[in-house]
Amino acid sequence: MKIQAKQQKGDSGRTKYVLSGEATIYSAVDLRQSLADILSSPGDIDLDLGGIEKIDTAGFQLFHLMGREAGRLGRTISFMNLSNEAKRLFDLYCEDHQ
Amino acid sequence: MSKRIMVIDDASAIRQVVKHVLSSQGYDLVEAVDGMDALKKLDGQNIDLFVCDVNMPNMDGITLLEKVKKDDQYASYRFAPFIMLTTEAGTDMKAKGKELGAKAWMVKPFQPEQLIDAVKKLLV
Amino acid sequence: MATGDKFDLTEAMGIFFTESREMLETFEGCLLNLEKDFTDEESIHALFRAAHTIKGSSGMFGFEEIERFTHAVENLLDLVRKKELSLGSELISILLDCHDYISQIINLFDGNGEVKLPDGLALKRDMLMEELKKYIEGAKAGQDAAGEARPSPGALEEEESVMSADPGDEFVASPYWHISLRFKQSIFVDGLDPQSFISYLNEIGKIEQVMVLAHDVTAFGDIDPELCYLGFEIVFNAQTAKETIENVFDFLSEDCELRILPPGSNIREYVTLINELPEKPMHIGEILREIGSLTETELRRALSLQEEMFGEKLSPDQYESKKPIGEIMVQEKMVQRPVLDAALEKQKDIKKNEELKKKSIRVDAFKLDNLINLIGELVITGANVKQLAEGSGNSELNEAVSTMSRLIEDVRDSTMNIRMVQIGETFKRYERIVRDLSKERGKNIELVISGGETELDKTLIEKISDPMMHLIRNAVDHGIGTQEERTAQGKPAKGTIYLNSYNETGSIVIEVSDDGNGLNKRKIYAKALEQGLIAEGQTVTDEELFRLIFAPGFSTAEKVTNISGRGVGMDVVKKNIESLRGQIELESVEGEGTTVRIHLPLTLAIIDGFMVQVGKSYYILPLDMVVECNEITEQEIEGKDAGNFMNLRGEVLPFMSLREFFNEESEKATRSNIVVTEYGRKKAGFVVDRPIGEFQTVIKPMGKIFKNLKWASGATILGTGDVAMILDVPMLIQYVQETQGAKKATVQETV
Repeated sequence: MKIQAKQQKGDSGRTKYVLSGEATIYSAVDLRQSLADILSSPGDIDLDLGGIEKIDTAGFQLFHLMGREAGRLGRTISFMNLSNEAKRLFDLYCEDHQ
Repeated sequence: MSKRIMVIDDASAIRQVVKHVLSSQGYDLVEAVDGMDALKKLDGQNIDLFVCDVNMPNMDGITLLEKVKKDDQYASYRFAPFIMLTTEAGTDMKAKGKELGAKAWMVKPFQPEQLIDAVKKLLV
Repeated sequence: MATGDKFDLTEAMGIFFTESREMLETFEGCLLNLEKDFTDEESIHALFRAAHTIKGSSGMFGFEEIERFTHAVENLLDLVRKKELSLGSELISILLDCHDYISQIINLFDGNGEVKLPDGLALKRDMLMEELKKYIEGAKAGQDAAGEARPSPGALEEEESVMSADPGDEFVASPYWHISLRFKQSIFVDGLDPQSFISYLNEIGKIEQVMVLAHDVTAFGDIDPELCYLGFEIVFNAQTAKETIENVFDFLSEDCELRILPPGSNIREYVTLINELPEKPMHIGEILREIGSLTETELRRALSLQEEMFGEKLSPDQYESKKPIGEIMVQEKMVQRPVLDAALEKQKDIKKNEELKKKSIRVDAFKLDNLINLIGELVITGANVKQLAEGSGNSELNEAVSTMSRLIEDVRDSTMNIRMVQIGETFKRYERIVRDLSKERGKNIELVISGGETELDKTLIEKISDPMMHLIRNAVDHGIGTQEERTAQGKPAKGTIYLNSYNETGSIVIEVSDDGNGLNKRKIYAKALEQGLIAEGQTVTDEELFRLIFAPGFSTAEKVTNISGRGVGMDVVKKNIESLRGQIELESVEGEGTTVRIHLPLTLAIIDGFMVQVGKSYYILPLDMVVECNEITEQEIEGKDAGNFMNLRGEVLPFMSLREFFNEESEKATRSNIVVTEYGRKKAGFVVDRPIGEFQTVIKPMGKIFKNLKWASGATILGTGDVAMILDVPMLIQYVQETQGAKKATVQETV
């Protein structure tokens, strides 16, 4: 499974999306599209990465750049519920997550 | 899930060494005797890294590298790292290989530790 | 925080203490050199580096007491290095005291961690700090008077340490490496994931902090997801060489801009880093501060230096723009100003030296001992296999076995070689002792060292340290007289002690000589008489007389000084040397000087042996003591009841029959051989039935059964299961010389 994004109802006005599949160089093009779509909807975002089975730096880069972009737009993104794979990489790079 | 490595070399002794050394580190090993054999064995299975001899009959390592990197048929392996094994420093081969994205080159004979080291640097 | 393997600090801390002690040795050695020549540049630089290294590492382990003190020493030495302060005898003495103090607190903290200093040490520290401060301020005042002081930026003045000299030569406080990575955009496509290289760092150390940066990115929608835009600033905690860190990224060499700054780098190196990176200086500076590579103060300093160093070459818009990676080289060329060149060059030299040193690795002595034991077992097994193969008559097997034996021999030699250390380092340690002792005794003595490159088993070096110390103390205290005494004797006022070392057949020789008074034979004779060691009127040779010095409890010193008279006599020295299978001898000429010569075996554990057979028993003689082996006729052995001597090409050689000596009762062989041995310049022959040949063997300590065999230094087990004694040749030679010599004396008297 490459990558899938599902919208869920979030708390207190935030929109929550659940990602699942691979976040690697192989799926980078699709992932960028999914993340760009998510960014195009307004408001603060919670991104649930519990379903990320595989992640590499190319995948991480997209999350990182997405966070920067959101910051530039004055919005916040929280990465949450990270899968073990994702948590390991976020921790290695000292990237914030919940 | 343990990472899977394909070793491609016509010399079975080298394959055995690579297999032995890398299995000891917990990797899954798949063997192929040349480039053709390797392409045949890819067949949808997951491969995280290739350890590939350069000089082989039927299909050499550089041709295999080029097919994997460029042929859409093998797109699901396109971004897997290659460790190239050579006996001599064939510079034109090496230059071409590097251009195709094979960055890790090892000259035979190599020490088991060198191979483990290289794999560790390329796979998480 | 980063995940990954926990960096085990205890091991690294052990290394810290070992290394610091080495640095202190260098420190002391340099000071002693400088005492002879105040301007020796090389020593001054080495001195500074030693202080700098100790300061740097002590900080990493949280030894603030060491760090603070060595920092002060470093600051002072920095002034010396820059010729703003000159060295003199008084300052060298203070620095030697600093050395002693640092040694003391290092010994105190080793094993205990940083503990509160006892009052005495704290007092010593405060006094020394006061002295250092006096010198530093003195130098600064002189500078100010000359109007040469550099203007320093007002904002920083307060925060800078009082003792810091030129702010450009400040070193950052961070005890960690700083690694900066910028990748070629194509690396993901090439199948390379920075993640794997970065997590590999945790195999050689610990990642303390990572900051991910992105450059050349405008909008999320415009990026190519298969290209890499990320850069990494990493704070890395490791006790390792720069080369090791570089090697982690070796596959990336063409695809990655790698910059590594060692712990405690010069702030100017950070300035260069800030300038080279594609991000804005302010931005990258902030990041360096945030991850802790630079403190707030250091950052401000760095940014102001940045302007100073690069500012005039950068137009404001360049300053603000993001430079693509490809332009870094151009940028580098732009910044080459002579001043900067010189500063960087200097840094490079220091680093080059440090890296040269780091070519060696440290190994736990225990691991090495274990390896040597195993090699020992392998050698025995190999010898057994060889014997069995020879007995089997299978030629292919024999060939394979002989190849194997050769390999085992090589392995053995290389392994033993690991333990070989040059004796020079140990010799240098005595310089300080001679200096201090002679000052205390009001004497003027120089220590001259030669043969420092001679290699000796490390275990042996450690074990001879005490006996050597004693010999040197003796030479200072009893050997060499005061300046007045010497002048009266028509000798130069300055006395000399020589330490020399060289290889001799089968052994390593260490000599301690002096050009002092020599032994007073009359005094020794009288004392020996008094102690009942000789009889009234007995004639003794000089050699015999001098040997009495080594008798237990023997001392001719008239007054017990605080140097000797520690209850350790020459008898203890002799015992120590003999326990190492070594020998000690003494030569002395009254009025001219004394030489004590120590012979030591090349190694402790394994020997190349020469196996011989006597009756049904096998004996092994250390091969390096065997000179030759010849057939000998019955006539040559017989008819010499007055003393066993033979004429060996014009040389009189005492010999004895091992058959008789060991009471071998089996039938006499028809032919005999004589094995000629030499040790410590003495020769003796041993008559055996049959020489068997070279045999590699490990000296096994003797079990209870063999405890009473005092002529054997060990035993080994042969392939046949037989036990072979390893003969203590030095002891046997001495025995032959004495017994046969006595007979010779009797013969001469009766003739």
